[in-house]
Amino acid sequence: MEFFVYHDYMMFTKSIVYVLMGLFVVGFWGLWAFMTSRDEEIHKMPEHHKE
Amino acid sequence: MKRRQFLGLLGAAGITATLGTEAQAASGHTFDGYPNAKGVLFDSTRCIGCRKCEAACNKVNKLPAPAKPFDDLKVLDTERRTDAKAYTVVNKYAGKKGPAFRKIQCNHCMEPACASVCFVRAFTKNPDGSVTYDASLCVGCRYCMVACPFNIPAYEYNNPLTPRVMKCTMCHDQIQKGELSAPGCVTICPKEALVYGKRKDLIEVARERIKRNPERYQDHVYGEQEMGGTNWLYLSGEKFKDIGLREDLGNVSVPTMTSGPLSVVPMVAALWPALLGGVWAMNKRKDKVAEEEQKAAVKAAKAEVKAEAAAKLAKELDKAEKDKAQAIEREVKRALEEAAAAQKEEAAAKKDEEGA
Amino acid sequence: MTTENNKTLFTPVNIITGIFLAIGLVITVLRFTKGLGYVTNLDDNNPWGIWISFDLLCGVALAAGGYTTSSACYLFGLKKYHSAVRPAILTAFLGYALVVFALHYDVGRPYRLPYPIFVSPGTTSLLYEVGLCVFLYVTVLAIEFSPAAFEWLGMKKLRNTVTKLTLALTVFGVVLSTLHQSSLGALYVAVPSKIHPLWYSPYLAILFFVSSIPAGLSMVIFEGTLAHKPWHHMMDKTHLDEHEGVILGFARGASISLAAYFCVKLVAVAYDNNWAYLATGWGAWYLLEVLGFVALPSMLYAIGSREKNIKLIKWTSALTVFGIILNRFNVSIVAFNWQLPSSQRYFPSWMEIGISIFVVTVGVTVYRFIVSRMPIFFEHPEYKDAH
Repeated sequence: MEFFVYHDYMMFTKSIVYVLMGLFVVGFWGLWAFMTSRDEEIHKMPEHHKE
Repeated sequence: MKRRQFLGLLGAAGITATLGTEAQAASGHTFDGYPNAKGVLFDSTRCIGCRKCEAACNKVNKLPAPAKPFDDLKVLDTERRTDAKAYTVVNKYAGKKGPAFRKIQCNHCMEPACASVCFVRAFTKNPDGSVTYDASLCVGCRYCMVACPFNIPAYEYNNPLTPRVMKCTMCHDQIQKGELSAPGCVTICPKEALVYGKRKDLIEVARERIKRNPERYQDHVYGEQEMGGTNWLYLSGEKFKDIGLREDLGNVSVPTMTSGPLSVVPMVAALWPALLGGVWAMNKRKDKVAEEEQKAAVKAAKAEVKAEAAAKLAKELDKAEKDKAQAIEREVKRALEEAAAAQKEEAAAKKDEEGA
Repeated sequence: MTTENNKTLFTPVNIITGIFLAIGLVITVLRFTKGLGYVTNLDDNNPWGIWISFDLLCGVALAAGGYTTSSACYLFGLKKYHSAVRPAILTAFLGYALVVFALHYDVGRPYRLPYPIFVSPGTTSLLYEVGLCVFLYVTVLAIEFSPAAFEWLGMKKLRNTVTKLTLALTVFGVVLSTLHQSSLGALYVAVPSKIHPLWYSPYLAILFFVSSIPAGLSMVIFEGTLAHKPWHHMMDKTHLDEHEGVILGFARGASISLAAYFCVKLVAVAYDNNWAYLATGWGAWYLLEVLGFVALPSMLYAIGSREKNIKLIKWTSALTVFGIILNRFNVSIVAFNWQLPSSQRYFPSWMEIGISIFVVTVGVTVYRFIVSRMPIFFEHPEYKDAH
């Protein structure tokens, strides 16, 4: 893909960037939820089952 | 597993395709504009300020009739700018060599500021060199008007619900449709002050004119580099700033200026969640450690109290035992004493009985 | 503003509110029947006026209390600021909602406001970034505010579900705030030829973001001061007890962030070697802004925080808020088009001012409605300690 105009090139790269940003948000949230999911289970467990 | 592999490969292929076979890094590559882009060369030394270009533009674009007719040259005594009803105006300036004229219209920049800042993609830099506006997308934010260094775009402020940005189109639509072969202003100019052609060629023409007539022209083609280069070029006998063209704009285009701040945006999105998550985690851990220390302290305190109480109890029990033992001892002693006394009494009484 | 207890609806405050709302409604009709040209002093050289400078730029800067307070409490773990979070979130939510409301007056075709996000994104534009972030952030703030409304409405389950999102929303809110606070400054990076060199800088994004921190902290102090007397009866013990701690703590934060902002301002002047401009008339105005409204409040906050002088801190918060407004106006109106002859410069029309006052009045009225009914200054008895 050849770009003759910097503006067109920027439009292309920045559009990808915004999609990436959306993925970052979802990804971080997913990673966080995964990491802390066991904590929630522990939190809900009755006291004497915790180590 | 096979399907997932296939889909994965497909995805990878798709991404590679969109990203381009050759990495076109902005740092290495130069953007030279569309190779066949057209432009207009305006030669101020040929312009006589007849305003026929204004009339032609008005006709060709079906713009409303002006307040004063186009043949009224007294209008040139005030400095005007483009407005919602005029894509172009001619201004008269007092030059060292007599009055000089300049035609003002959109410069159709190579890297247009208006297109760069428009948040709804209402401006397009076309392969034919023109910069055109799409009124069907425009929200009316007027950022294009703020950003244009030449103060060209005008606005229909008196239209309450469907106002448009108004600016020269280089007659893009009419030329595309074949109605015109060149912009209306170029064709009508009686002095051939305007030339339409490929930008590359126009620069050569301009340079040639300067070379052939160095006393007639300033040694500079305005628009060759300014703001990253424009497709509307100017030659002048007077200094460019004396005919209203700013000489302090620099050669950097607006897209280049804004690429710095723009590139920070995704970095914040990528880094902040990790940093803030880290801060939160550190504070949570600090709180947790503080909580645990407090728990341990409470536990220790409790244990201490318990131990103290136990010790006290043991002491009391001990004492009670001792007291009890002592009491028993006393009782026993008393009992023995009483028994001894009773025995003594008995013995005395028996003795009395025997004596009588 | 209740009709219980024989209280009249026609208090002086309500009457003034009514007048401003009525004037605003009249101008609204004029705006949408006769156009921007009739109602404003905008023209082709000055396309942005006080609806951008005040309603958008100042509105967003002063609503920064939302992300600063919630991050202080939930991310930096400073639990003693907890009672300040809900008022700050409410102010921020109303602030941003009003920004969107005011934009409907300024843009030529408000019915197309969804276009940049849903129809044709101009991703090279920093205004696109502003629009996207403001859209997302208003949503985040609405969700962050909703527990108060749910508690008031007795919708326990919904309230508890939303409260679980607090951490995620706070982080997302700081990301979005950083982005749009800085992007509003970055809007002007595209216009070096029209802004005076003392106010123009490629660093404008950083300048706007850094200054939004003391802006937000000061607004929390300032607005807390204004609300303290009339809404005292709505404030619970925790809120009243924590009040002074919030003021002292935020004064410290504001002092340091103002000092940082001062440093960034100097770096911006040094960047293009613009020191010579300080000796001009414009330079005097610049020095007034930087020394009188950035350096001075930084010092005053430091003194007030050290001596625990609450009164000094409160006055300094007003000084700081004014300074932020001054800066935003300087960049967008005063130093903008500085080279044009005075006959071509912009000054707002009375109708533009009327709409700006109208927008603020709407915000204040909604604020009064909410704080007099919903658990903003107090913790709802059914949800105590549930954070």
